[in-house]
Amino acid sequence: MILVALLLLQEASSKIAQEIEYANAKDKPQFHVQAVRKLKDRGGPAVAEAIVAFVAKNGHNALSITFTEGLGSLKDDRITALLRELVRDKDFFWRPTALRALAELADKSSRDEFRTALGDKLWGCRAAAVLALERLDDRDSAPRIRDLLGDDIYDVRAQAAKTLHAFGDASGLPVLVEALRANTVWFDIDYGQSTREDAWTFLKKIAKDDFGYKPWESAEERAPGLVRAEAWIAKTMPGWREKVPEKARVRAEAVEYEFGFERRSCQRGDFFFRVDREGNLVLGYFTLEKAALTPEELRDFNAALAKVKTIDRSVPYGQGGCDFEQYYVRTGNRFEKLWIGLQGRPAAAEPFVRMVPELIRKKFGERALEEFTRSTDLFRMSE
Amino acid sequence: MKRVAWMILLLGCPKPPAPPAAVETLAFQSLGAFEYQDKMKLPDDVTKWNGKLVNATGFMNPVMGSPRNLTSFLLVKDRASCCFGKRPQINHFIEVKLKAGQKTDYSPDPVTVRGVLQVDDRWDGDWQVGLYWMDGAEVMK
Repeated sequence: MILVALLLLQEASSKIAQEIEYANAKDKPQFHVQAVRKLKDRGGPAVAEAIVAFVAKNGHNALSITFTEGLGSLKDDRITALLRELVRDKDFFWRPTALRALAELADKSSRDEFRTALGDKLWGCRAAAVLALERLDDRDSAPRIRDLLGDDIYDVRAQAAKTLHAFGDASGLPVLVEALRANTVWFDIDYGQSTREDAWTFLKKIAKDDFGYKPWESAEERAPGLVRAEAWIAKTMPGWREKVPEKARVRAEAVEYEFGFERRSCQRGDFFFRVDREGNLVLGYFTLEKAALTPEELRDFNAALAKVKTIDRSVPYGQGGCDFEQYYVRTGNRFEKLWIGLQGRPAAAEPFVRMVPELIRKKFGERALEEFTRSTDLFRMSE
Repeated sequence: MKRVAWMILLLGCPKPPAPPAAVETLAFQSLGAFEYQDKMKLPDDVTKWNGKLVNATGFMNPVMGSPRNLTSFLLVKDRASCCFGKRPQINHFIEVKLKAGQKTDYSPDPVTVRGVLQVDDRWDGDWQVGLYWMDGAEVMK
């Protein structure tokens, strides 16, 4: 009898080990979702123990994003402690995901972790922290959450508006109504649509009216629905438009660009800038900041860019994954993309990457500079 | 004698090649437009594509490792499940294996892949291996 029990225990433990391995296997992404589901269904202290042992042996960055997300459904003190550890590790690939998982656990003892994360450098962490504080019903944090209605990033502003609404405070709704006008385009990608969809999904739920608005339609087709949505908010909040924070205001963007730089990093966050036809340096993509370049600055910029243009753009560089730089280089009427993954930046792009920080510091200050430089080294070619 | 020679000649000739199968444009969104449950009966909208020669347009999932000279990759239906760290759901990708000798590089732009789509819910014991497959495929330039 004891022998049978021991055998069953051993079989279960080897299955748990396999599920944890498959949930994180870099070469088997198709197994991640199902392995996490199996672990969730299994639950219990043996799973928590095996996870802690796996992390101790393989390190934080051996964890996949799906697995990290799944940790939020395993209620165990050891998992809560592990998630806090992941959130504090500035080099962990999936910090915003770890914070969202910690939010899922809604453990009051994590409150200070979430309050601190309201000022995190990664927007994903800021947005997750707001949601987490909503789950904890931490109304004392409302003033700080209200400040985030003016965040640079839509996702943070929107989460702040939704959380305040959950606290019985309608002051964030103008941010969402304004977002129905979002028109952000990054070269060939319409990011405005996902912003509009997000805002509309929330507003139609609380208004119990979809306003006849369809976020995926053209601006002309959306216009009547927009009028109805704006009339809806004006009924309860006259002068709502003045309450939209500066950074949340949608501006007409009919600018032609000459060059674009996009850096996306799961590990360190995103950074975007463009140079428009008038020679302005334009930072960001949801909230744009613009600064004119002097003729000398533009000349130096173009000289460094000329070296980037010599790089063969028909092939990708470095390692695949969700950390990459893309250079949008104009050729005639279209843009060609130079794609650079981790440790892959060709030497000809280095003078450009060395020249840009000074320009960013001069035009937009130390904070923007820090955002640019914190992930620069990831793409430097390995020796 | 002459007639016999002609007959031998005709019989020896290779048959004319079969007309190429018509290529259809795969409605990739419909493959992922349902919530998959383990070993479920797949919707007709999905199974109707089984065995068809299709052009499928989607995004290459940039797996870890070198992004050059790939002989196989996951083709996912949209940018959201491709490029920013998210793992695709089982019904959101096609496992593409290129024709023997063919290689391709990772591209951040949408790519069109031509091949015969197999809709086949394959399992290895308790583990689901995949749902949509395309072997011997070509990347269309």
